[in-house]
Amino acid sequence: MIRNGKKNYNLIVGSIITGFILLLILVGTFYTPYDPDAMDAASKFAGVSLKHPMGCDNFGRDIFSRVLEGSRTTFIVAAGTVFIGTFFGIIMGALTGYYGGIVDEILMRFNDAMFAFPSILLALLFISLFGSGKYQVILALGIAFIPSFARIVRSEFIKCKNMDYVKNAKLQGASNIRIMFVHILPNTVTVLLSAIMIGFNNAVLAEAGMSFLGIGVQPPDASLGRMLSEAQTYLFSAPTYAIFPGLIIILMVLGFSLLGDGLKSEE
Amino acid sequence: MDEKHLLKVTDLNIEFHDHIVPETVVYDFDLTLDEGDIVGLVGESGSGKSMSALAIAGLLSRKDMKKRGEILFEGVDLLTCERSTLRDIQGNDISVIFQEPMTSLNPVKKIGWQVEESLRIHTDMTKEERYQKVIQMLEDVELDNPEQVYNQYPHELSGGMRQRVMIAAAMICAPKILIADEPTTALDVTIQAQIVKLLKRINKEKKTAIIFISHDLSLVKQICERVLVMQGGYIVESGLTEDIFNNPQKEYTKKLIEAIPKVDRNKKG
Amino acid sequence: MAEKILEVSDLCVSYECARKTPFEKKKSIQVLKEVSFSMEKGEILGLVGESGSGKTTLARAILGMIPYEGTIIKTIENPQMVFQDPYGSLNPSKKVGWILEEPLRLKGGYTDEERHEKVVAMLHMVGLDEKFMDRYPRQLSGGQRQRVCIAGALMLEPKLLIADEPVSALDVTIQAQILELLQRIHKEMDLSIIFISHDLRVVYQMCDTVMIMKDGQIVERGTVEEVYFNHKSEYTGNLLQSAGIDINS
Repeated sequence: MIRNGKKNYNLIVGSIITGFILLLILVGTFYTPYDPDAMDAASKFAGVSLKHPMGCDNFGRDIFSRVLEGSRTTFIVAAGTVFIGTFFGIIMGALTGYYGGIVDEILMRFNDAMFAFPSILLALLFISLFGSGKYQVILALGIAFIPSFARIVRSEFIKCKNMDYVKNAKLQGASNIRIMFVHILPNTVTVLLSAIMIGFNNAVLAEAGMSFLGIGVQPPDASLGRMLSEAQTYLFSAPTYAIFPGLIIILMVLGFSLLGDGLKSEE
Repeated sequence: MDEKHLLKVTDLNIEFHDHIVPETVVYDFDLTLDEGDIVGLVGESGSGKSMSALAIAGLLSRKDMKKRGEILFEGVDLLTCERSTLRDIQGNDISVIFQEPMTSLNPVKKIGWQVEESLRIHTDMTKEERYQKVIQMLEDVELDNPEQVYNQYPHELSGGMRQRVMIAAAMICAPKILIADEPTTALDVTIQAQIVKLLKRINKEKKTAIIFISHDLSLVKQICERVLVMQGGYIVESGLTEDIFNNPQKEYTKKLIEAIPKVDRNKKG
Repeated sequence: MAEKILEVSDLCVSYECARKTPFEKKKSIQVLKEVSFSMEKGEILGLVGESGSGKTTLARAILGMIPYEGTIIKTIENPQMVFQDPYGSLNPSKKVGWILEEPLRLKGGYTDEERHEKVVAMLHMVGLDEKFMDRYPRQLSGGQRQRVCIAGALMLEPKLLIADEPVSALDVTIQAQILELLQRIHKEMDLSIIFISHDLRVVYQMCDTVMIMKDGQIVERGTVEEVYFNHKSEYTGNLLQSAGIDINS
């Protein structure tokens, strides 16, 4: 973490924030103080107290428990999205970058067309076709994310495929698939990693945005965006309902951007 | 006394300060240069030859690098003088040509514009005067069709032509010192020979002092009167080229000379 | 007469130029023009020429890396190549051990221990020791990298090695060491070498025979002594003179 005498603060702070969020999610998976969906009319709009550290919402549900649950949902959606985007992006980028020619031309034009739509619009289209829900959101956002990853991987492959070590591998009789995924792919990791970090952030925001609009995760499931959307009606009666989910989104995005920047400068 | 010499470098030490532990790259570098001299700076990569030359040209950052010693150019210490004085000397009195003619020219600007640049900065000639001067300079470095070259872009020229353009750009303000950092390494042998001839001619006609940096001893032997051999930041040996080649004193110099592959008839059985 | 390992006849290679507009006629540049020569077993052949003379193209055609017209008859299997830039020819994300094992893995039929043993033996052969197996290329000096490249090319015990300017990116003293290594390997492994270079001094020291190329054609071919001291073409003389080689000494 120390290079050229300068501490990599981005990496350090990013790791701490991300670690904290991950810890929160991990704890939330096994233990929540209350059932996140359990309603309790007596504690409707309860303020911050020892019993309810973040207060309660309009149904008397414990906001802290819901934040724990919601962070997990949001995290799973973001991770799933990035996984789909990266996996298919790598395959598409590797094929187009390595082979070039007509395959490249067709796939990349298709890519351009997808790029021209905002990813949230594409996701909207997808949701209206297949219905809404956690898994639909992952699939929709994932597909919308493929082109940006494909593009990054493609340009890295174009850079690497003319290197002498690739020629050498060919001379030694390595197959194209082996050259692509064993010889070239590891060299794209650093670029890919920071792309994944940025993609993750975009996915968090996109999920929050979609749930806020009511086309993402459906009630009674909690997600950070969903909670924000529910909170807007009660902004004055239960401000903590909006503040804490918002805070977690900010921390999640901040942590991952810092981590991404830190990793980039580490190379 | 110092005014006698065009350039006098004494006890130059260069230290990098961008790491936790400061790293010295040049120790106690001494050099005197008079009008019309050609001095060779020889050594392997990491020997500090380029660093010393860049320090003389005033191209090393003043912040990250600590320098001790003196670089007196006509009595002005380049290490301590005002930035504006240094800028006046750079490009006007001391010019540099680099190894890679591909990257030392700006790919989006026309040749004429780039050669003119130091005239634009250092003189107040009119546009017409500048044009005339550039054409004359391009002719001087033995480029055919200078008018055509003036309007071309770097990528339209061959490596040898580009290096000639670089020399023209470096010589346009008639500098007193020309620092040539491996100017022929990237070129073919026949082109290399032409560039060396051109540098020699410029040195003779314009009395420009040349500091010629190279790792190629056979080339240095052809062009330089005096040689400084550097290793690990130190000058290990210096003297007249002839003496050093015929009678090297230090082990390292002997090793360098032996490493030049010999071409002689009786080598093989 | 020794056995011929390579016979090239009427070899032509041309590249297509990029068209500026789609309506322009396809143009192509002929890089090699009816090149014919043969090479004997155990020979070290120097290939000299300026940039654009087609020497690297010839090497690639021999290795089958580019399409060509004419015939190339090879009596040896899988010739290997050592590239000029020791920085670009080693995969930066792999350790030296992995890089050297790769040719064996690709060929198949070796156990993990056999591969390991072979790599260690080869590292010793090129003057490195086994602790280099766990290093990444960026942790090596230029000379060490070039040794690793040579080791990699020799893993499958080829009978022909093409070295494309293997020493021109290196310092003189390192250069001398690498040349020595190539000469030793040539003897010990019964190897034929095509040595591509623009440095006439290096070629003289290294090679038995030499071939001078210009504009895609062979200008002169013969033993080094013949070509250097009794050259028939003016171009060869010009090259020698430019390199500052005095043939009368």
